[in-house]
Amino acid sequence: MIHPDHEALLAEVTGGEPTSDTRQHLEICEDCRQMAAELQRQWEAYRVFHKGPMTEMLPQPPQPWEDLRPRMNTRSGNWQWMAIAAAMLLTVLAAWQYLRQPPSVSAAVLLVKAVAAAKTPNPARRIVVRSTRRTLVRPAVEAAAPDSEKDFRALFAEANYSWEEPLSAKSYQEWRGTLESATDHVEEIPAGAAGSEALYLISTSTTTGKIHHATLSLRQADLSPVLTHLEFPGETIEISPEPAPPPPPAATIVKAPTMEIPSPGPTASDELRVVAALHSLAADLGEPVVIERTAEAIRISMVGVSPERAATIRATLTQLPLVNVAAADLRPSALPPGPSANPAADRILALSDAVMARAFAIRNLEARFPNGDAMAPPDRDTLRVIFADHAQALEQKLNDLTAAVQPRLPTLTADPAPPTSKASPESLLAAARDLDQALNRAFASRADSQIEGVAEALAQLRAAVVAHRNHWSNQR
Amino acid sequence: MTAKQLAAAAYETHRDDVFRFLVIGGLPPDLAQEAVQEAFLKLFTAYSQGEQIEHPRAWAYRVAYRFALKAMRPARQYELLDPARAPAAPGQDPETAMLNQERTMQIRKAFEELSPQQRQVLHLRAEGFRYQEIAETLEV
Repeated sequence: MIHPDHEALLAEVTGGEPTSDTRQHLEICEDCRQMAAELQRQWEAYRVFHKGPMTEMLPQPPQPWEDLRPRMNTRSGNWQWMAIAAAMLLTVLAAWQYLRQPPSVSAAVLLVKAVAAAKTPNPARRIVVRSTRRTLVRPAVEAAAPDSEKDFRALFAEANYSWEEPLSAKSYQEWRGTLESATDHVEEIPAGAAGSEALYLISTSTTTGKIHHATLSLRQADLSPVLTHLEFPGETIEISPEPAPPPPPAATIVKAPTMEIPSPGPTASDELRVVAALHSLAADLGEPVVIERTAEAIRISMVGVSPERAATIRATLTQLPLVNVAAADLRPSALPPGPSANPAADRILALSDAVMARAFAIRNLEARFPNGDAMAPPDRDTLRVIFADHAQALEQKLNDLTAAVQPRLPTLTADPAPPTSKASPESLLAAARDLDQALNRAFASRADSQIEGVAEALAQLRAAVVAHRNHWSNQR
Repeated sequence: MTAKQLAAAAYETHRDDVFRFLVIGGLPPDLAQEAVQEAFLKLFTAYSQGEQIEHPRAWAYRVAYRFALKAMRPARQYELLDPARAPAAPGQDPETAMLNQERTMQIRKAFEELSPQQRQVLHLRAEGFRYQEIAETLEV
């Protein structure tokens, strides 16, 4: 049985121009139906992205759209070029103004992210509420307010602002949602030299509520709220976390060695343990596993990983301290291998994928631990082992790939001057990607010029590997 | 309808789609906006000269793409998809929102790994262009 290739299946599922052969084949072939179903799911996922998030995330036109009708009236002869030149000049000036402005962050988006990032409230956490009349220290979450707080409670109730948990992104978001009209502004405040943390400052002004101006400061690292500022008529209230008690004198620490020391947040060393655990499961080779280190924990999210695989990864990672794992199964477990019309080409492309995966892993590792040499010796060794594993595997796969491709490349050995390459993970990855694309082009066209492109890309990747290996030997 | 009315109507309807198509292909937003406007002015000229244009949208894409190719050489680098502009998802619980956000970011990352032309092919297909129309628009 001859199976249709991926292009034909894709044409079928995206509503392209499928052939009747493809349709007839799908009626009788379960493997291809499954493959088509998977392509359909991927296509739908992209279309959702295309119609929603992508449209929002793309840059907007820097200027309001111009009414072209007046220009249509004058559009003729040499005036056309003068109009274009004038428009280009105006556009360049406008673009210059536009590029001088910092990118804006939407308050609504930031609040959604902050609410999503919020942790379960710690019952022991306390906050300080300062008004122009008095200062109050109370639990951060308070289901029932005591009588001593009834003035605050009434004020907040009138303004539709939660007194139960006044220092939270959720309360700010809910209050903002009750406003008929409001103007938001978001400012990014960089970290200060004195140790102050980088913040987002959300400001909201309105003419329709009891609070006419409010701000919420969020720590950029984890989006936790550090200050709420509310302006009522004749009253201003600020809410912040209760400061930690000052550390006891050094002598006290010496005399009381059993005193409990608060647990610090995760370190680069903790993060490296997570990376090493994933590496031991070969889960650092392109699987959709995202590692994020926040002030409190290392968050692992897996989207689209099969339930079985997610369970394995979860079981391994949850043994490590300060790790939170979240997973969502948005696709079925892995499909069986599809039918192949050209096993030799499939093998070559699979080897190229393997090379790419290792190059990605090396680049990601370098980006995640840019100061690996400054880590403690055991961590440095761990990092070194992971790097070496990836580099060795990459070379092995490249050798296999070269052996598989070489019989098809008569010009490969004829080049007397091998190229040189910069020693960097980015160069390595770029060379691997170029080779992958060259292979795909060659298999698609079978033209001699494309095959020469493979030979060049292969030589370039080999040069990048050698440069990286030499750099590695010298630096580490 | 007059040539001016036809061109103005097409401009109102399709300018944002064509703008996104050019930006996805790597043209900075200011130049993309100018290319879109020029494309629709050219459409007006074509209508004025009596050309029969069956599919003004595809025609505008094609002409804007040619403008873009000319302007592409000195193009600056800029961030194509800004996660800070990702839309909110009201009504979702925090975990679902976070997972959806992760998924969006993964598709975004994959999308950005594509070449400009591959992104444009995907964009046009999702906009309903047939294979033949995509080939004609991108002149491949």
